[in-house]
Amino acid sequence: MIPLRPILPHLRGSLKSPLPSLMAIAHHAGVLCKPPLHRLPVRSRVAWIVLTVLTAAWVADRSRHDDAVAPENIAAVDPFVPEVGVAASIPYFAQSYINPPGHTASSHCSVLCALPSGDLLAVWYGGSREGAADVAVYTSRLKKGAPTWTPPVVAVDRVMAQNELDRYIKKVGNAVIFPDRLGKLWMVYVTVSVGGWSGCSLNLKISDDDGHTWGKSRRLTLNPFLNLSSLVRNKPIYASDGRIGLPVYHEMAVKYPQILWLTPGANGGVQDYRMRSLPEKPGLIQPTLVALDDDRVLMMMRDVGAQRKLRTAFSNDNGWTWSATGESGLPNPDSAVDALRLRDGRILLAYNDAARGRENLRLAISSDDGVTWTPGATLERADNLEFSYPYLAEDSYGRIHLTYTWQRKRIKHLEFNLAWLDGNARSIDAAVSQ
Amino acid sequence: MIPFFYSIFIVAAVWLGAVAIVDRFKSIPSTPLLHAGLGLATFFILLVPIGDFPLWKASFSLYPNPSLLTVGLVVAALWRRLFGFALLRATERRAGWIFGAVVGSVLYLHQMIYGRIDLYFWGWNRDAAIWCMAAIGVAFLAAGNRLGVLFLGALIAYSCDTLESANGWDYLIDPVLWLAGLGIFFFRTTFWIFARFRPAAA
Repeated sequence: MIPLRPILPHLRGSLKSPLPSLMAIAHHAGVLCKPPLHRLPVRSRVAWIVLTVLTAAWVADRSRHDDAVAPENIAAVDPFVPEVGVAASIPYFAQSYINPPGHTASSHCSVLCALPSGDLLAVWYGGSREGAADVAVYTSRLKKGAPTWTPPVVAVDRVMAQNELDRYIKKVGNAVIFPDRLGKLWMVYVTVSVGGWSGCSLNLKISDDDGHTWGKSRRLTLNPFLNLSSLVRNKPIYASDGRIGLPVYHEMAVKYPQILWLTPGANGGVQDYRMRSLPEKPGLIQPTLVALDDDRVLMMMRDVGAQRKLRTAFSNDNGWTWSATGESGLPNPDSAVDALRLRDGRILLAYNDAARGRENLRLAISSDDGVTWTPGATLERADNLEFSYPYLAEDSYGRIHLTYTWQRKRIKHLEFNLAWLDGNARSIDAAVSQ
Repeated sequence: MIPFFYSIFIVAAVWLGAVAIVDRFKSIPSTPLLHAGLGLATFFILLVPIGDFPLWKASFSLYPNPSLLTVGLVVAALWRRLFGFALLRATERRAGWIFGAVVGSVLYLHQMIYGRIDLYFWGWNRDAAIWCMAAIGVAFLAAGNRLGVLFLGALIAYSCDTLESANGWDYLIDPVLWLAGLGIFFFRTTFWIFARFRPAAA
C-alpha cells in the first residue's frame, strides 16, 4: 500500500510550499521517482490497481443508461400529421419557388418540415457557389393558409458557426430539420474546418419556437479520426423509446451509410447520441429511411460507384441492423433521392431517372414496401440543366410537398395530393397542366 | 467553457517545442528562468492571432479531443525538460508509443480492411468503455508501468465527460498519438535495420 508515514510531513508542509510537497508525496506514492527510475513498486501497483477497479465500479454504477440495443417500434407514419381533410379526393397540384430570383447565385440541398402548428419550414443552403465561404443555411416559412413563402432568413452561416462552436469554420453545407416529440425543432448541419466535404463534421442546433430562433450550435463527435467526414441529407425515423434515427453518411477514404441515433433529454436537447456505421455497404451514401410496419425499415441509397443504380436494404429491427444491399430496379446518377410513406401504405419516391446527369426529376411508387417500383410523373426535364436533391414531406392537410434544387439557382416547391398523384399522366406536360 | 485537457495538451506541447528548440542551441544556458520565459512565450504564441486565428483556436478546430495518454506523455516530456528528471521510464514511454501505434492502427484502419466490424460504436457503450479502460490500466499497472495511472485518469475523465467526445475510444487514443507512434516505430525500425546491416569498419 501507499506508505502514509513519510507522506504526512509533506501534507502538513503543502500549504507553505505546495509544489515541492506535492512532488514529494507523488514520489512516495510511487508515481514519481528521481533517476534512476524503477518499475512501479509492488505495493504501489496493488494500491493503484485497487483504486482503478474501485473507480471503475463506482463509475459504472452511476453510468446513466445504455442504449446499445435496438430501438423499439419505429413509427411508420409521421406522428405529427393529423387526419386528411375532406378535399383529399379532388386532384390538387401547385408549384412555386421558395427563394426569390437572384437571392443567391447558387442554392442547393433543400429540406422541408411540416410543423405541428401547420406551417411549413424549408431549409437550404445558398451562396456564390457550393462550398464558398459566403454560403449560409437559410430558412423560409409557408404559414398555414398563406399563399407565399416568407423571405429567406439566415439560420446559420460560417461566422455564426465559428463563434458558436469556438473554432475555425471554412464553410457550411447540408442541413436537415426535424421535430422531436416535445415539439422542439432540431437542425443538424454540416461544417468544414479543413479540406472539402469529406472533411466535414456535424453540428446540432435546437429551436424552441418552430424555427424562428435557434439555440447555440453543438458539435457532435461521431467519427474516430479527428471526427471527420459525416454528412447529412435525409429525414429521420422515430422510435417509441424516444430515440431518433437520423440517416447520415461517411465520405472520407471509404464512402458508406451511417445511422446516427439521437436520444433526446427530458428537458429538450440531446442527452446522448451514438453512430452505427454500415461500412459493409461501400460506395453508397445519402441513405433515405422509410419506416414500414412490423419493425421493418426500408433504406434507399445513392450509388457513387460505376453501376449507378439506386440501392435498397431492409431492417427487421427498426433500423438497428440491415440486410445485404439489393437493387431497386431504378437508375441513380450519383444523386440524392427521397422517399415518403403515404397514408395508404404505398411509398412515394422522388429521383433522377437516369444513370448519368441530373437533367430530369421523376416520381415513382411502390406498393410492396419498396421491393418493386412503378415510375410515375416526370416533373422536370431539360438538357444540360440540373434538377436534383428532392425532399418529400406531408403537411397537416395530408398534402404532399416536394422541394428540390432547380437549376442550382433556386429551390422549387411542388404541392399535390394523392388524387393528383394517382390520376396523373407520366409526362411533365400533364403534371404542369393540372 | 475552456476545454480542460485540450488546454493542458496545447500549452504543454508548445512549451515543450519551445524548450526543445532553445535547448538545441548549446550556447544558451538552460536555466529555470529561461524555461519560465518560454512558458510565458507559449501563451503569447497561442493567443496572438496569426491571420484571422490564434494557434489556440486553429488547433482546436481540428484536434479538440486529445487522449489522456497523449496529454500524459506530452506533460511527462515537458516535465523532464523543465525539472531534469523523468516521470516515466524510457520503457514506459515506449509502451505508450507502441500502444498508440497498435491501437490506433486497429481503430482507424479496421473498417478499410474488414468492413463489417464497427469498433468505434462500442466506445459509446459506457459499461464496455469503463471496464475496457480499467482493464487496460490494470494490465499496465500489474506490469509495473506508470502509464496505468494515465488510464485511471482516462477513466475518471470519461466519467466526468471532460472531452467534447462522448466516445470512450477518444479518451484512450487519438490520431496524433497514433501517427506519432507509427512515426517512432518506423524511425526506430529503420535505424535498427541500418545499424544491423551496416558494413563493419575495416
